[in-house]
Amino acid sequence: MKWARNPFFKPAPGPPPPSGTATPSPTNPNATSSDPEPASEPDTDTDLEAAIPRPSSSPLRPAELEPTLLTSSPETFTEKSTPPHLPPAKPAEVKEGHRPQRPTPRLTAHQIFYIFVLDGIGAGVLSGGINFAVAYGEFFSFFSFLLSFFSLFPMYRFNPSRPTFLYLLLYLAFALLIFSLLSLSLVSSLLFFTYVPVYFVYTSFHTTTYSFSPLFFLAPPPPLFFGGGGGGFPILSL
Amino acid sequence: MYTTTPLPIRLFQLPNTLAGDAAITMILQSIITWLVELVLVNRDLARGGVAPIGFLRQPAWRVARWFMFLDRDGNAEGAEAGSGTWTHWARFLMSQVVRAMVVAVVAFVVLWGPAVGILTAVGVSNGGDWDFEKTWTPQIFKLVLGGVLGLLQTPAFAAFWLVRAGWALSTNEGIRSWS
Repeated sequence: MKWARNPFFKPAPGPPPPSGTATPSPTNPNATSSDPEPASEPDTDTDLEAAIPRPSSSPLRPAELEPTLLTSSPETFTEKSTPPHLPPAKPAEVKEGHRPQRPTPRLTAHQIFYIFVLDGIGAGVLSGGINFAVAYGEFFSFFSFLLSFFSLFPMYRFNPSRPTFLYLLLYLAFALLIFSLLSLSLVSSLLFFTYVPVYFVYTSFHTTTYSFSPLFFLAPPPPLFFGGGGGGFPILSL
Repeated sequence: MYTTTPLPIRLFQLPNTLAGDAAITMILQSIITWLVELVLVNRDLARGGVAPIGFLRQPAWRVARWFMFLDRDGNAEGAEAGSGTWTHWARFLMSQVVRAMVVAVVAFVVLWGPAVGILTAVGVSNGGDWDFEKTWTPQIFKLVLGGVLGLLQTPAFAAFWLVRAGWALSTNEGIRSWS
């Protein structure tokens, strides 16, 4: 079944390119034909998805997986799990503590917390709150909601002829809140709309040829899931 | 939205239809949740914030394998649209949204009927349709619907990526980060 490849993943490793005819890597706009990759260095930016075996040919059974996971060192694990057509793994480039953990042979407490508390109850409360806010109205309706909420209590009730101290205090607090939220959104949007173009221009400048490629503002998508860095917007370069 | 509208709020009739709102909410929230979880969970997995699940077997059913991104021919389509092009991004996003739509259909089948049923009990019957006040039924309905959807879908999406990453890392996806 054909479907769109995942652009977060690197392309599958083909046969090793002949020296001197390296093509520019799509994820690295700085790579040109003038700086070919070293031939001695194996290309470990593999197409991570291409080599998941079908269960018929090589099923992933817990009985086979667990001893590997539990007993072997990372080196032997990598060797065993590397398909024969792939080059051996490169030494670590990822910082300690910033690399994927091993698949667990059973559901750990942290996974349960992550799935059902963080992404369960947390997401439920967040989604419910957002939906409620959409159903209730927009930002300034929220203001009136607060006022109507406080008007349930007599001492906070709005009375223009006799404005109490508490009401004035609340009104000032709300006004300050709204003002600060508005100014915060103004400042953040200004930062965003200046930072993003500057970043795209900065990352797409070719330091080897001192030039920009055409359509440089359409930066290539960075790899998201596992492995390598690359250009692109930093929030997504994981 | 419903608090300030001058038009009547009814169950089925436009413009303010709660049944239609429920359907739209399910579709949109499924897609938004899927995309958010796609980024967040894979970010956590890549940084080692959470461990992948490694004890489940891969499905054999073709549709399930398609859904979980398992049978991908890396050479066939990598050549025609290079990794990192704009069209590649668009097709990838489309492949994600299609799966989110599948989830939305399931959510609709499971939740839309009960939602409408509960609303008929709350609303005032009016000639084949049901009327609602401007507050607080629509708001609380959306609160509960969004909460239940998020409570059901988000753990499933998070577990989806944990399981998939477990298969991927057990084969060769993590080759670079393992050693």
